[in-house]
Amino acid sequence: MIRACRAAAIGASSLTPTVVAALLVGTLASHARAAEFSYLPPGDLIEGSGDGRIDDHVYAAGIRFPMEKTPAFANSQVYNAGGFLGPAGGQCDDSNYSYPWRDNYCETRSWDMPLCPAGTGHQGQDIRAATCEKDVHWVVAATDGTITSIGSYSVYLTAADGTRYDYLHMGSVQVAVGEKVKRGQQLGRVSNEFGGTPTSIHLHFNIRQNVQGLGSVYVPPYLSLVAAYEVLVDSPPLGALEVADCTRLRGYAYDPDTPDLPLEVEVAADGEPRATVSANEPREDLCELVGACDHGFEALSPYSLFDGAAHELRFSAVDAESGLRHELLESPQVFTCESVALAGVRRPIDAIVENAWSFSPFWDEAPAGEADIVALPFAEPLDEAPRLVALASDPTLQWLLDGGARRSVDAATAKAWRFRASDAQPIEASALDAVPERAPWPARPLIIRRPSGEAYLLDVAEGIVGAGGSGTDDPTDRTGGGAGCACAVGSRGRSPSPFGALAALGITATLLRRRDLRRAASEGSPRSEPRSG
Amino acid sequence: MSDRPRGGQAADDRTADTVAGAVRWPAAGTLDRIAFARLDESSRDAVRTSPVPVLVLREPALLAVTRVMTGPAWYAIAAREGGLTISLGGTRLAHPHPGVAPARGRSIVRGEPAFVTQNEAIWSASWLENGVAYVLEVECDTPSEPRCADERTLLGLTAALSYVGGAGGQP
Ligand SMILES: [Zn+2]
Repeated sequence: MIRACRAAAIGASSLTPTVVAALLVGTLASHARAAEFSYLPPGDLIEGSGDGRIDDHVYAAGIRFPMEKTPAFANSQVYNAGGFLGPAGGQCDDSNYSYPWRDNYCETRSWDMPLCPAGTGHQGQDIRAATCEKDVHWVVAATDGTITSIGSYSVYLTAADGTRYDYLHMGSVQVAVGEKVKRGQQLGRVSNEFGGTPTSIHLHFNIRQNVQGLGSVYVPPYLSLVAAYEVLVDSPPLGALEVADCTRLRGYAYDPDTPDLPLEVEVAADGEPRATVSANEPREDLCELVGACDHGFEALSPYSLFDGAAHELRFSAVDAESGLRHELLESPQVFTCESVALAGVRRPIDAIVENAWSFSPFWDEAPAGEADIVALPFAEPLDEAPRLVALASDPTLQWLLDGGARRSVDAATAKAWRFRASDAQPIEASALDAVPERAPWPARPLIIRRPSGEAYLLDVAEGIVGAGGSGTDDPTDRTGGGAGCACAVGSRGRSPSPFGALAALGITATLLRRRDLRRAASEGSPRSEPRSG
Repeated sequence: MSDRPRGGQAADDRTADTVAGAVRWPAAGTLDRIAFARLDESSRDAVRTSPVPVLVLREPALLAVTRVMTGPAWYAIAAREGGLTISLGGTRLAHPHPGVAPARGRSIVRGEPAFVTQNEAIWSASWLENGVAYVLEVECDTPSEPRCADERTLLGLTAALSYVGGAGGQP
C-alpha cells in the first residue's frame, strides 16, 4: 500500500499533506481491525483453567509472528466455546475469534512442566487464525533455522541459538526435514491434524529452550508472541519530505499507531545515516489530517553538503514500535548547493568547545579550501560554552554574552544554534543595560576546518571586541600573539568582565552545570541533531 | 482483569544472551563405531562436525532412517519409522533467564535427573550430560496407540542411546 502511494506520488510537482492524506486513507483502513489488538496479561488464564505463570519476561525476543497474516487470536482451545471444558457454542464461535488475547501456557494438564506454578500444565500457546477455516491460513517460520523433525502432526524448527519452535496440528506442510528456512517462510497451514482424530482448528506453538539451571524445557511463549504480533499489526510511519533546498529541509512524519507521540526522522546522505531530526514541531495544516499538530520538522540545510556536487538525501521515519525505517514520500531528493562564500572572521574552537556548543559536522561544517580559510582574519576564540541570558520581564528577548558584549538572539537563531529556552538565565533590565550591545549573533553556526584539524567558527567582525586581525597569523599560537590576536592570548573567552552583576546572579555556576548536561546528551547520541526549541 | 493496552511491556526486549557451556567429550573408548557405520554418509559427515557429543538411537532399524543435522552449537536427529517419529538433539548454548529458579527433573535418564513430560501426546525426556542439554521425543502417528499411552516407549529409547562422536571426539 505504501509502495502504491509512492508510485502515485511520483511526478507530482508538490506533495501537499492533503494529497498524502488522500493516498493514505486505504492504508489506515486496512490497519483498523488489527489496531484493535489487545491482550490480557501473562499468566491470566481463564477462571478455573489452572494457575498461569505470571512472568513479564520475553523468552524469545524478536521472533516473527508464526502466522503469515493478521488477525490471529491466541486463546484456549479447551476452556473456550467448542472446547471440551468450555461454555456452550462451537469452535467457530465469534468469541473465539476476537480480542483480547489470553495466555494458556500452564493451563491445566497432567503433564510435568517445571515452569508452571502447579508443576504441570499446557506447554505452549494455542492460536487461532483469522477465520475458522482449516488449511487456509499460512503458518510461517518464526526465525531463520533448520527443520529438525516432522511428525504426523508436528514440525520442529531449530534456530541457530538452539531455541526450538514447535508447530503442531498443521496441514499442507511445505517443508522437509533438514531444510533450511528463512524467517517468515511458509511452513504449512493452520489445521486440526492430530494423528487421525482431529482437534480444533488452531496452531499449538511451543518454544523449547535450554534454560540455564534447568535444561531443555518449554518456556512461556505468550509475551514473545504478543511482541511479534505487535510488530505485525504495527502501521508504518507516514510522512513526506516536502522541501530540500539550499536553505532548509522541511517535512512531516507521524506514526498512525501513536499519533500523539513525536517521531524521529533519520537523515541519510549518499547512503550514510548522518543525523536525526525530531518531527515534533506544530503545524496547523497537520492538525486535521493527522489528528495531532506536532509532527512537522524543519532544519537548516546541512552545510557539509555545500560543495557544488549532487548528493542524495534520504529521509526515513523510525517506527518506535518495530524500530524499522520507513522512507518518507518524496524521498530521496537530489541536493546540490554551491560552496559557502566565506566572509567575516574566524574564531578558534577546539573539541571541548565543539562539544559544549553541540556543533555538528553534518549540519554546521562547510567544506572550505585551506587558502580561503587562512585568508580570513581571526578573532577571539569562542567561549567554552554558550552564555545565554533572557530578559526577566520578557524571556523571548535573549542575548548571548560574548566577550565584553551582548548580542541579540532571535527565536530562529536560537533554534539554529540548538539553544533551548531553558538554557537562558533570567536577567534584570538594569543589569543588561550595563552590558554594551554589538552585532546580532550569527543566524546559524558555520564551522570551517583546516586539513590540519584546526577548526573555526565564522563570525562577523562587528560582533567581536578587538576583531579583525590579519589572516596570516595562527590564532592557535598562544606564544607569539599576532598583531590582531591580542584578544586570544591567554583568553579562553572569559574576558575581564563588566558583569559583576551577572556573576552575582550565579550565572557562571549554572552555565557550567548546563554544559555538563549538554556533554552527557551529546555523548548519548554521537551524531548531532538539531533540537527543536 | 482489564485489557492491557498495546505497546506494553512485551515490546521490552530483555532476553539475555546465551551462555556456551563447556562440553566434556566422552572417552574414545565409549564410541559406538558400529552405530556410526550404520548412519548414512551425510549423517556421518554431520556427526564429524557436531559441536556437541552426538547420541543416536542404536536400534539398527532406526539408524537406517536417522538423519543427523547440526547447527552452530547443537545437533539434532530425526527418525521416522514404524508409526513413530523420534526427535533427539543436544545444545551447549544455555539461555540465562533471571527469575527462573534452577530445578532438577524427578526422573532419571542415563543416570542424570531428567524432566519427562508430554506435549499434545508427544513424550519427551530432557537431561544434562557432557555439559550439553539433551532432549529426546517420541510422537505416535496415532496418539491414542498404546506406545504413547505412557512413558515406557520413551524411556526404552533413552536406554538404547549410543555415543557416536562429534567434532571434539572423532570416531
Ligand atoms: Zn495446545
